[in-house]
Amino acid sequence: MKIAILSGKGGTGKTTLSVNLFSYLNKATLIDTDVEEPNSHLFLKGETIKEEGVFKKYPLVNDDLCNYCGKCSDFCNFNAIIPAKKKVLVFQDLCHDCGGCALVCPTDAISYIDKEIGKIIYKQIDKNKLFLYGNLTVGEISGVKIIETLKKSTQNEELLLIDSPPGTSCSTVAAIDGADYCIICAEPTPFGLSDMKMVVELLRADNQNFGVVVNKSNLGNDDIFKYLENEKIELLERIKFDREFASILADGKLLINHSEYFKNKMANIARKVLGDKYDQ
Amino acid sequence: MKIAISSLENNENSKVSDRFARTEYFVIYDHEALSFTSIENTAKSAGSGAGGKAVKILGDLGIDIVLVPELGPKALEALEAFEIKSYQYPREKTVREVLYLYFEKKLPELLISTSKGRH
Amino acid sequence: MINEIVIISGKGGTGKTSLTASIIPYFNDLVIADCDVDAPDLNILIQGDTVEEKDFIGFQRPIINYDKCNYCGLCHTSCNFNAISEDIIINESACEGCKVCEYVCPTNAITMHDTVIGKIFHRKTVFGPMIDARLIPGEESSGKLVAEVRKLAREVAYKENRNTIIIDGSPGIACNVISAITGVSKAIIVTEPTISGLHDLKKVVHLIKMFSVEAKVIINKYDLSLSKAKEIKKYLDLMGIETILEIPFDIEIVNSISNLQIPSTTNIPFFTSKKWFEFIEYLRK
Repeated sequence: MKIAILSGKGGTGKTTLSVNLFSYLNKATLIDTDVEEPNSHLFLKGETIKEEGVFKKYPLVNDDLCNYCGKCSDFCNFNAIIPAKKKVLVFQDLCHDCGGCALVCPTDAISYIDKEIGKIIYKQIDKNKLFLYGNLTVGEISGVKIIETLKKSTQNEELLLIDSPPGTSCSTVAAIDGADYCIICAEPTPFGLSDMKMVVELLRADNQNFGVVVNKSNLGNDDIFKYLENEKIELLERIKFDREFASILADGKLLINHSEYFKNKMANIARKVLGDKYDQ
Repeated sequence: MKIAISSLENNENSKVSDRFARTEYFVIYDHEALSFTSIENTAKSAGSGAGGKAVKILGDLGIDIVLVPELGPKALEALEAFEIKSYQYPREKTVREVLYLYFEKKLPELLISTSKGRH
Repeated sequence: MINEIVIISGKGGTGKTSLTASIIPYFNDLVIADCDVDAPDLNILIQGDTVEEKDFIGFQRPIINYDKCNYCGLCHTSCNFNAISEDIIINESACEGCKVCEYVCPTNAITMHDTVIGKIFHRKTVFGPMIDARLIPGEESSGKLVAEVRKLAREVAYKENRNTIIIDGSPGIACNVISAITGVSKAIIVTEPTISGLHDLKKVVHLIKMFSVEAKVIINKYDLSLSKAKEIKKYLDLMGIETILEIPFDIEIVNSISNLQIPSTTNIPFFTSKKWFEFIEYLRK
């Protein structure tokens, strides 16, 4: 069973929901696929058991074989390879690793070498809980490859929670690909509603099953609840905003350990989505 | 000797551009023929790597010198590889004015990057 | 020279868009550029009228002519993005438009076609022209769309002789953010006093330093955790970055947004403070 937790807008509480739900369950694996700005690890204490690099390839030109014909440069859609007077320039950070330049090279002058674009860190939280997160190196353009590696490394887990990147771009699509159920974390403001609609559009186009948790439900207005009712989207739970919660979160603590209210909310969400098999 | 200047329009009286790789035009001055020509910069719409592409266009035209507002690290690397020298002009001038400044040796040569590139 | 100001935040939900909207009423020679193309929310508050709406073609994607296809599978095995399945079906959201499949196809069954990845809007607002865009959910290359929004905003600024562009950036640190910050005059980073806020701030500061952009930081809702706010300030001091504003949490800010009002145009005390006006002055310079 794979459950993705996502939100159109950032800051709605997606990570809070992910780490607390994960901590509430008796057995689960969590991956944080928000590789640009991973935060789940700030709340989860555990031993790092493994670290692995994620690599992409970029071309290396053998100057002895190159005849400066320029075919690689003409083919490259990303302007990552440019033959100059006495050498061929390769801009590693522009390269998408499509393999095209080597294909079109008439003298077989191009081979590929690896470049690390980020890391995946494995943490054992307790004996039934594994947690993985990815971290994209600053200055790299895309984290999709790290997300795909995270998903691949955990494809056989019995219960997998996926903390997804915010928004509706290609990273989000990569993160929720193959999920059995998606939980949207939203907030009842005009911004929150607008961003959630984009997520709903994405999930419907992808034929995903999903429900919504409205966080900070006592702020803003009722428009989001009306929208959910009109669209017949399941409202999984409402969670109130509380200054007390904000200061617990600010210090990187888990809300379920400090608030019965919050713990009950996690229990309800878990039961609605998973049944009682994974109850604490 | 051919000199290319990034400019907003296609003639020597045009204002110079405040961008290099995504400038609208390059006005080209041929010092042997004493004539001006221009090309539209097709690199400007590149999704990524406009700097390298613009330099390749100029390199293929046999340009020796470029007069620019600023350069990204990729454009600078590419200019060096094409053995094209680059000099920085002040903003808000015309193509003709910056060319005079160049011949009066009043423009600084660019050797390290003055700006960073975009993806 | 045009004064281009970008407002960004590593972490989402820190109040970046509310702050951007709050700055806008203080400028009279403005072009507004909403570059948060995944979540373009500025117009919800600004409420501009759409003057023009057009499709944005991000790149070219393959289309397969199945009458010509002999199912040899070369496109499938050659694609480094797993965008063509074994039974030769294209997974659009994985495709990066490299055209390797077109090149390897022995029967010329694959051709590349323009792909719309988003929509761009020109709007007229009471504060000046606005350009914003919306990425089609699931599309990639938001960096390109951001670059296009900035380009159009510059064109409008040149044409109408407007000297300020305010850019609402997107959260994160990837291509869309890089596109939003390159070549700007000033960057304002909005953060919040949480462990995540500080963590994400560090990554954005790293990015800002790589691109040598002048940056200052606003700690929003600073009083939700005074200790974290202090920790953030200490970090910024160490990095030589000024904390230019600390904004207290005020439920009225949330309420004003719910009522579709720009927070700084309501009677919230903070927006009449000396600090706020000094900040606006800094932006104007």
